[in-house]
Amino acid sequence: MNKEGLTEKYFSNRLSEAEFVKLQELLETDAAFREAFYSELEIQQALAGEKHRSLKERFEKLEEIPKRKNNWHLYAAAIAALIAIGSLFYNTEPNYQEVYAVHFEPYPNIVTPVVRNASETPIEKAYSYYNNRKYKDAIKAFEELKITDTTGFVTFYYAMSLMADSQVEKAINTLENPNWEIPQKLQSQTDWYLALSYLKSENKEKAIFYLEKVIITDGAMASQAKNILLKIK
Amino acid sequence: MIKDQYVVDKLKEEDLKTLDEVYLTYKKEFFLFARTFSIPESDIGDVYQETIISLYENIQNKKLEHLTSTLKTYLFAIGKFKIYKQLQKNKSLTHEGNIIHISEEMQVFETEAEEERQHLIQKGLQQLGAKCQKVLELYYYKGMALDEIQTELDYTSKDVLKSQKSRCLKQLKELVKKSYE
Repeated sequence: MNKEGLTEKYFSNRLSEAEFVKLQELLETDAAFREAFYSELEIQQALAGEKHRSLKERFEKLEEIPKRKNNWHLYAAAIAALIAIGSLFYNTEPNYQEVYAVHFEPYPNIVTPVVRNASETPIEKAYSYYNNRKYKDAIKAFEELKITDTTGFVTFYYAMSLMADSQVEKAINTLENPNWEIPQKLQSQTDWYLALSYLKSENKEKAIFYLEKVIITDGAMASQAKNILLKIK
Repeated sequence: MIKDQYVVDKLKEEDLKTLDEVYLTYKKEFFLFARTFSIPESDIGDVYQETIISLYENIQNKKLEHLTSTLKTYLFAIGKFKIYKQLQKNKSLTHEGNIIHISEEMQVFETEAEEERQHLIQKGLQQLGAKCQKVLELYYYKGMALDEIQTELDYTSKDVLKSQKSRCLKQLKELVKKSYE
């Protein structure tokens, strides 16, 4: 069989085992043939790449967890209100773990939009883990990016991922790290999450300290912070 | 095995719901499998998607018609080739610095498919005439032999088709070359 015939048989998937070996040998020894074959392989892959796009998108959709709405503080506020009302009837010592559990919700990703494609950068990948609640993966990814990050956002989301993974001590260390320059936008949020972290580690004094800060700055979480404060003071 | 062959037959009918099921069925196991190689965790998802797509294409272009193993074994053999491709552990050939990965088991050759280059070829393909596009697609993507294409596209002889195809390749080559200039 001639070279042309072998190539045609390869691309139409009709090679016998012996012919495949023959083709391999030819590719090893015949440079001109190898060159032509290489460019044909490239064309095949370029064509396939086009066709793959829609399938990849299909798989992405399959992976997508139903998106949660971004009105996290409304939910949290409603829950806080319920707890506040509840606590009027049951005047018991607050359960810090429970307060934490009902109030903690990872802060929504305000940095990168949800896109996933082949050319995803490491930073997009990290946020995509975060969006998909793969917090262990997100922790690893953010931890690396944190070193070179100049915006300050990576550190915040690193801490969020830690909290979501119940590693509050580490989250506290991260958020309180004096070398971290907190983005203006996230100042109040940072105080809020520190307050929650201290609640979880049952450090009442520190929790109160941060809750009061949240109240003073009058951020989105101020009213919730007031409610919690009323309960634990 | 019988059930696996049924899945293959469904995929041949381009039943994408079945493809979804296959994707979800083997995903977890594939990740565990991939982790036994030292491939970055973040690459596994992409490798898995490519593996499933290869399976689907092999069925579409008739490379796989009848399973001689379980579907899982077949799928993981593709997957292993893709993982090895990432790790540069496959048998391979180099051509002027370009690598051709070889799987003897799957009887497959693959290039590295560098993205920029692939994009230029895709652009070139789009610039070709409709006739050329069709011929190249049937030959390189659908895995059709020349006589099949001749019948499908009503060429008067195989030789006419052959010279048409080589003209298309030449044109494409020039278009890609031009986009580098």
